[in-house]
Amino acid sequence: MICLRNGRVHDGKGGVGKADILIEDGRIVKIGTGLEAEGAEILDAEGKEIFPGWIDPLSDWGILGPGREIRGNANDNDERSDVFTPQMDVLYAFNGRGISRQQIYAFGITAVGVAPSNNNLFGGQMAAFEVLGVNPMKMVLRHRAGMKASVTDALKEAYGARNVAPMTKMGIFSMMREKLQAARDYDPQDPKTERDEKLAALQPVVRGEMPLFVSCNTPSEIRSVLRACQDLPVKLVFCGGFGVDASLTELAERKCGLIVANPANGFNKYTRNTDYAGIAQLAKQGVTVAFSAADNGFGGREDLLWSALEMMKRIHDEETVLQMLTLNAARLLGMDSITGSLEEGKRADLVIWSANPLTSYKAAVEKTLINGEVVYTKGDAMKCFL
Amino acid sequence: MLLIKNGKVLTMGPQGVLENADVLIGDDGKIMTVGMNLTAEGAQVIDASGKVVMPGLVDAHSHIGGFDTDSGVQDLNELTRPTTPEIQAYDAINPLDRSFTEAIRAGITTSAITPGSGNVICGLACAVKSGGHSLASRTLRNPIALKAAMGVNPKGVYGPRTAMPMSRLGVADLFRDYFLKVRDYMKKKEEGKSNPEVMPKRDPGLENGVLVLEKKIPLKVHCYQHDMMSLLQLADEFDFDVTLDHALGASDFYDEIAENPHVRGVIYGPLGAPLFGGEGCKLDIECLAELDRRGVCCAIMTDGPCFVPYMIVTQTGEAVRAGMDELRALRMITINAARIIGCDDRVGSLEPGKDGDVVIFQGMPAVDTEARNTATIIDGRLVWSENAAE
Repeated sequence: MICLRNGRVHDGKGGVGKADILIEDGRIVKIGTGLEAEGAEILDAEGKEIFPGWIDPLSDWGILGPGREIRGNANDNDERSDVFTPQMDVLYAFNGRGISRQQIYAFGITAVGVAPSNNNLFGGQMAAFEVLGVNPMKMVLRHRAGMKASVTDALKEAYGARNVAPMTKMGIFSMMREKLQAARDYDPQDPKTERDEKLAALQPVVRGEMPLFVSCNTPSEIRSVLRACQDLPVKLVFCGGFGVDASLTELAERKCGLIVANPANGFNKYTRNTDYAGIAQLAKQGVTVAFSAADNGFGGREDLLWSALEMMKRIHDEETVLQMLTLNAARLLGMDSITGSLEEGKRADLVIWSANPLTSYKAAVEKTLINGEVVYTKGDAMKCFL
Repeated sequence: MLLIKNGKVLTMGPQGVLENADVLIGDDGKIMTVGMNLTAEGAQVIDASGKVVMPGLVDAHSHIGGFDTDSGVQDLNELTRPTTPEIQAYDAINPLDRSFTEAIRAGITTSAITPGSGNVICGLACAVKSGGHSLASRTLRNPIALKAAMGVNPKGVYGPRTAMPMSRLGVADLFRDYFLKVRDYMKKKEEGKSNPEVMPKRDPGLENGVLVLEKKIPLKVHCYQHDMMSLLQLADEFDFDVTLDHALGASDFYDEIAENPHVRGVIYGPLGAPLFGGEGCKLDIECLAELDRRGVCCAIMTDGPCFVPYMIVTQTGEAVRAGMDELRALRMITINAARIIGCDDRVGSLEPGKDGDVVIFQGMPAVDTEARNTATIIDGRLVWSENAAE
């Protein structure tokens, strides 16, 4: 049992106040003032800020290099031998030691969604994981959390360049419509139907049971995806957010998710079009907004917070931005019932900061708790990769 | 004349931090006075009440203008042979590239623009201002350094062609070969003074090496981790000055870096990458506080356009998060950066006689996460302001 005393608790849902947090068996059992905590280890958090752990819903931690292989493709997020691979599952590519070694928990991140690359139209099934561990099967927080898709130029480069469809946006969206409709019509009970694992894997998406995470670089790509899905109850989460502004009200009408990618990479010509104020307006109208460090595979552990700080610079609303870093990300991955906010009954995935990192660079992580265990304390040496 | 009134002035120079102070810039674009209650008849006045006034930011390692980020076209890596000391970044720069406009908005007024790291000896770097007229008039100094690269970049370019260098063995060999040739060339030139018959034909590539061996400019070297130690070995052997650019992993070598007389400075970054094998297995921005304490001149780079310009401030904030004093940290993107690139006589601090390059922040950069640049002045001319933009 652990009791965090007198910290300023930001619950991730908009609430802030001084409180104690009682943790037992990995769960938050009580949040309140002056809690009885007999036998508990007391962690004094007076003067500290306590936040839910950040969640990056769309990362490639654990499945992307580095140095994983001496031979072949080092990027285990990237099966670009076939543009249509919805049956594939990141669970089989995730390396616990790979993500652990990156020590992202030391920067306040306690859970991640992991997704295949942007090179396939339907790249495969995503999962959510803890960020520290060895056995991927034990680190899973939510298996089959979503289906990853992409309609960006990456497909054209991966396939069109070798004269394989799709070579154009026409090819991309024609294929998207065709596959979604085939999945809708797929009936394994019909004796005349041949078994098709790909269509079977896509079926929960067209039934609205599994969200579809689609990487888009422009609003016109987003609108084309909306058009391709207009007659289907697909739950859409758009990834990238480049060029999205308040005029894209379709996202609010359809209650879509939006994951805003890392804007720091100057080589991505789309990043400079991110309109944070407009996205914040859409959030008010019902779009579930979160952030991601991923920018086609080269984000560090700091990028997630940096993304959030760009939103802070525009909307100046710490608790709203915090919710985007935590609860909204958990919601998009379908695991908001177990983590993403500080509430009784949820996992104790939380971080004690010396100050508020959304407002001050002087804020540093003092302790990170994952599932109720202290996994990092300030001063723990960063481990070298080798 | 331009008079910036009533700001909190971080001079980054001998005058330190002045509250409610003014900066007066003359018609020649040079700073005339920094002090209290200044008046100047006929001057354009900018009210900086409640704001932070500081020198324009200096990015000590960048490639903006040489990489077109829309088209992907690049002009800074001449990857036809691994030793190209005769080429100049200056020839690659498009002064109209939008990266300069973005730099102005972010508050970067001077960038050290360098060839890429695909070659072992890459070519000359220069210092360019973000705004002004022609590239020639915006160029503060050319050359400021000869760029070189250790490690995976040249290996990664030539190795797949089964050409030298395929390994760090080859990288070091090419380094030594070049400087041995420069030495021979210098010797022959010396002999040629008394015996014109042996005077060597002028070789522009070797001439640039002469500048390095005569310590007129430093060697500006892409190096990480143990490559830094290889570089210092070479600097000792040939007696030239170096700047350690990128420098990830410097926390393993505090004594070696701090005590080596050839180290002109460390230009750290960029952050924001996963740890990877080879030369990226240690990310240690906390090293800057310690190196600074030991008297090493430290700076932070954007490596633009790898990072967009405002990331120079964000990364400085990360140095503060890692324990560095905020004013020491801000030196890394002003006076220290200027000193490392050899331009501190012109930029990097607000002092009489220096260039009138000033930025006006709302909030304290590298401390307040929401701090933002509101106005940029280059050579005494207001080149951008938030209000004018809206």
